[in-house]
Amino acid sequence: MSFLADTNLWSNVPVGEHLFLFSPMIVLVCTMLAVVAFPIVLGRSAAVTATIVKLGVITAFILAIRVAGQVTDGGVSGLSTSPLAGLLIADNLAAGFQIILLVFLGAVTLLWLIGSASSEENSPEFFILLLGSALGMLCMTATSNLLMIVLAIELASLPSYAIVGFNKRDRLGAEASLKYMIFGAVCAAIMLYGVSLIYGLVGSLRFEDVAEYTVSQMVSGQNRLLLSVALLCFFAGVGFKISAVPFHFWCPDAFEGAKIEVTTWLSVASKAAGLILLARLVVILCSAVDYPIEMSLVQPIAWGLGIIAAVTCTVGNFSAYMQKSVKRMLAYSSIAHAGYMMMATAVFLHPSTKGYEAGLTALFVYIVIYLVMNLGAFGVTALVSWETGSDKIEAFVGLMRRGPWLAVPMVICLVSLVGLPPLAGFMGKWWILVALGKLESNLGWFLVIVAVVNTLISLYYYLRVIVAMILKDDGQPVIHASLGGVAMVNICGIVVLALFFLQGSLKTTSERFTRDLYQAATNQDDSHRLAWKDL
Amino acid sequence: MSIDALNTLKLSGLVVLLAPLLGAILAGALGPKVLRSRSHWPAILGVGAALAASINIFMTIYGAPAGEASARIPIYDWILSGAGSSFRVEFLIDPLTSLMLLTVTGISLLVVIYSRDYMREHDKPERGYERFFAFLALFVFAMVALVLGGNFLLLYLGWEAVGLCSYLLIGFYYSKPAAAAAAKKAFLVNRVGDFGFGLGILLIYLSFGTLEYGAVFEMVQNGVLASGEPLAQGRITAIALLLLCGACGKSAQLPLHVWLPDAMEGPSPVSALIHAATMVTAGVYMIARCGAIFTASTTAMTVVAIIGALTALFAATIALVQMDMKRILAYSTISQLGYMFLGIGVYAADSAVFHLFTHAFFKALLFLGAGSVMHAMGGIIDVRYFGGLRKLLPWTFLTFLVGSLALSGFPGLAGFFSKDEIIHHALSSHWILGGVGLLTALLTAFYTFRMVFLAFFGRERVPEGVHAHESGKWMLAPLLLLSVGAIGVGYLGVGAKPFHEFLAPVFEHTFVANNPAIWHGHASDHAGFWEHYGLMIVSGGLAIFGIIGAYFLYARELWIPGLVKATVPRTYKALLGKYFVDEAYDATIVTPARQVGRFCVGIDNWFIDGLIWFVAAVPRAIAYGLRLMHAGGMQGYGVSMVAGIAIIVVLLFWM
Repeated sequence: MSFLADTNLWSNVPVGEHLFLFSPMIVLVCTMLAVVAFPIVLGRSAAVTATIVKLGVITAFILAIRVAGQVTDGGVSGLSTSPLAGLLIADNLAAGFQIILLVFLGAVTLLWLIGSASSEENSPEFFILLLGSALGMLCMTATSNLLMIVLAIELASLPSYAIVGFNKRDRLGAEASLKYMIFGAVCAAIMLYGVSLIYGLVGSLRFEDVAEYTVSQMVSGQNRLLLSVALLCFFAGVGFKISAVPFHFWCPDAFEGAKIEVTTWLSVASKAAGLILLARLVVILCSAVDYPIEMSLVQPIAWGLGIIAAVTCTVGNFSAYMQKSVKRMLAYSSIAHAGYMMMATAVFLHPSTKGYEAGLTALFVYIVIYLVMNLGAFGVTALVSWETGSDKIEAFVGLMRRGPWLAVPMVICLVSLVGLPPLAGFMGKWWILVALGKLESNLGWFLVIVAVVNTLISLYYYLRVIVAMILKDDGQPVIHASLGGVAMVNICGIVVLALFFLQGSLKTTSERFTRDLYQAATNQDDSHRLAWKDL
Repeated sequence: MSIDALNTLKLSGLVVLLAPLLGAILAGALGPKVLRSRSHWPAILGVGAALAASINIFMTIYGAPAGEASARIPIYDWILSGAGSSFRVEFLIDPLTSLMLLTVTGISLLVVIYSRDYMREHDKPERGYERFFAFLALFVFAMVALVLGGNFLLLYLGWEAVGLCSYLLIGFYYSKPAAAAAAKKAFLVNRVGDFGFGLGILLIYLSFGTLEYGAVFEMVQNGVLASGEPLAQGRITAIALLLLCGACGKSAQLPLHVWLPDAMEGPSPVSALIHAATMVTAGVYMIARCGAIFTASTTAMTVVAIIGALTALFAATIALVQMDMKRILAYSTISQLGYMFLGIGVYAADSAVFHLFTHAFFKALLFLGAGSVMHAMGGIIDVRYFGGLRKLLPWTFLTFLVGSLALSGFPGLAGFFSKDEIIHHALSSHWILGGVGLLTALLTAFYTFRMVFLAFFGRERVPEGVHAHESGKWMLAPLLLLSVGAIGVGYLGVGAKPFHEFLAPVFEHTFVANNPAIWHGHASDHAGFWEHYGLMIVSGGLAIFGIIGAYFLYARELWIPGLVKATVPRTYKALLGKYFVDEAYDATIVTPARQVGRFCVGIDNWFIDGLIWFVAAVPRAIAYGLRLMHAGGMQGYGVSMVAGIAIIVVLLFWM
């Protein structure tokens, strides 16, 4: 257990304000325990569970906002007062993502309460799984230690497998769950293999050390093959979470078999968390590079990320292209969006970007917008499919007459997913394209072209739903959706519209959450860092 | 200005802007199902709140110490581009803004109240009742954004948004072909002007690197570009003329006036509010606001004055022979807007804004009065089909008479003072401009009272099957209030001239400082008795003469107009045919454009559609292939994944 020795995990348990920085996670853990414990006393009703979960998520959200106000630039490496030793980090990025993930968690909870609470007798178990995977995602975004990354990915994934097949009597769900688990296990095995190779090479589990080692090996040219394979294998685990090609094969079955609120959670939230993790790792790699002399050495990594992003984006779009079910179409399109967002991470490693801030801000802005607009679109799909019993595109025909309160936010969210002004989705794509264009390199232009062509392709399948809703009508009955759900999707629509007009504030806020990562953790030599930033 | 005052302005500005928007959203969202026949309430309350806040803004600006009556209020950063330039949502509040806000929200409130009854038949709301109020409130929002905005970007946004609302409201009865065609025409003609306007704004951005009013105007006055190079005269003239292009479209000046008469297909309250009192004056407001740019170029100012004078005369002559009351009023609006342009062109921006202000009252009054007549006549507004209505519609007649007297420039009413000032300044600029102004004043009085005598005097007759009735109190109350305005507001511009005094700080560095007439000592406030009152007597006399002439021709000796018609048939036809401008545009622009359009449709159908079919077929094929790949079992997935990893490794080493 020598690798645990240098983490000082057990000797320096923090108290007070450092502990407070992790309070949202602690609250989530307590909520999970409460969800198990209280029904034993009060009975297994959905109402009890719902109350506990709502209280827990709201408390965590309030704490997350307070934490965001308290984190310092550069962050605190947590569960230890030494900045170099932490397994968990509380910094701007983690605090910012924490807030938006908790909002999303609350929305998914609300969806579940509307759609499934009445028919489901096992609600406590459902929430243990959902909260567990949310906790895993929070941990994923708040660590740079390989051990913790593996643990967090598993913590996020294991409940996901169970949640996909939550309804035991549903054959399709059970099959999807099994396939998902096998695929996840393979990816986890590959990742663990990669991690063990890395530990063997570097002798440390801190990704900061791994990054420095990588750069030094790039300079000297030793161990290149072994290191590449090790990093690639490690990437398999991250790629699995963000469903990057070729680690995306679990998606079709999982999306098909799971309930729609679970599909929303898996296809949107887990990708966002995976992308933040990926971004953090690339930022660390970026910080280890001595700008600009060694920059060209890490170019293969930039190209690798860029090409995977481009392929992911394209495969996601083409897979969404022919779908007849709106749920599957949205789920596939979320793969395409993960591709757009991954493109931003390729920007970090380029010599002409003068730092990762522009790309990371673009990514963060996109994630915020992406969560809101997907929530709106999935929410409408859920409400429609619960009323009509189908999530096929036929169920949406004539929705403008049958339920204008659903159709209008759906149109707003879909058009925003395409990325047309005056909606927030446009700004998300715009900032990523600007960051890519500023590279003024082959990689940048290649990715810009891929992104634009993919946007054009996506126009087709998004618009098909809009056409069905507005221009067609086959006299299906009016939809009476629940008030809470209607309120939620309309809020999403308004936010998507408003974020376009408040995009200056969104960008400023995102800059605040993405600035100055790893000031304390990686660069003890401040003069070096300043020089790098100012160039 | 104190912090408290700034905060008041910011808060009130936000209320003025957002209350109508909220009203529009509520009317549109809740109207069809919840509010139904009460859909006017969100609009009335929203616009009412905006009016209250406008009054608050006005009081704050009015009470501000001398020299501090202007405030630039940033709200938030809207677009931050990486290159350091940013676009803000910001307000510019100065006396001009506060006056415009007061006019816009005040008239709007009266029109919205009036519409409550107008848009009903037998107390049943018309189809699209809630749509009407939602659009009306949306229009107020857009117009307020145009006026409040502190930079050219917001001006442009408001500019386009009022155009959109105008389009939506002209085409309110969209199932009526004439209304749909009129809406399209208005939109397309405005597009011509707005294209120039957009280019002007782009040229401003390219020249000065910012769109913020204050910064741009300062650079213009210092005569430098953002790069530090001196500002060429040609460039500033180009900017001014391009902006003028937009103003001509929006304010229906020659040669882009053709849309406004057709716009009368919209409901009468819309004609009163958008196509007479507020939106069409946006061009005048814009030129007044951009005084620094326009006065920097004498060429541009001359063009403004000439366009204004020509339009005033041209539209007045057409109005002489029209039979449709709303069209007569539409041409009169074009003519009066021509006066305002003339006023600005001769450096009398304060007089032009004063005329804008008084005109808003009496023209809204006249249109609402015409609407009341139309309501009573079952939708007929052609003066050939009815007459002698003064007994049937006593209140409408009385208020309409007040509006007509004000429009004619009858001494003592609002139009008299403001028009007289413009003619005074035009005369001191060039005798031809002043002469045109005087001639138009005579024509105005004549055609206005021709309409009054035809509609309200003579033998009482109404269209068949129509039961004429006076309008209800929701319609009469705004008419009475506007009548008070049409009589009273002119006195703000006489004596100590509180109106001009209030506006003076806005124009002192632009129109006043650059006025060549002042340099040459022509126009001074120390003129002699005749110079001062002579013109008043002349123009008042002309107005009375015009009214008497109309009485003689259209109430007593009814055979004379027929005789005139028979002696000069060609002139009559030309006037009745509106100088055949529409036909000329049709032959030279519309028909060729249609042919180009047909050609493009052909290309679109055969070439582009084919291309699109091909483009769509490729992804479909790929998607089909991908679906097969995803339909496999676990083994297939595993193999694909390993193959993928292998490909990446190979690629990494190959590069």
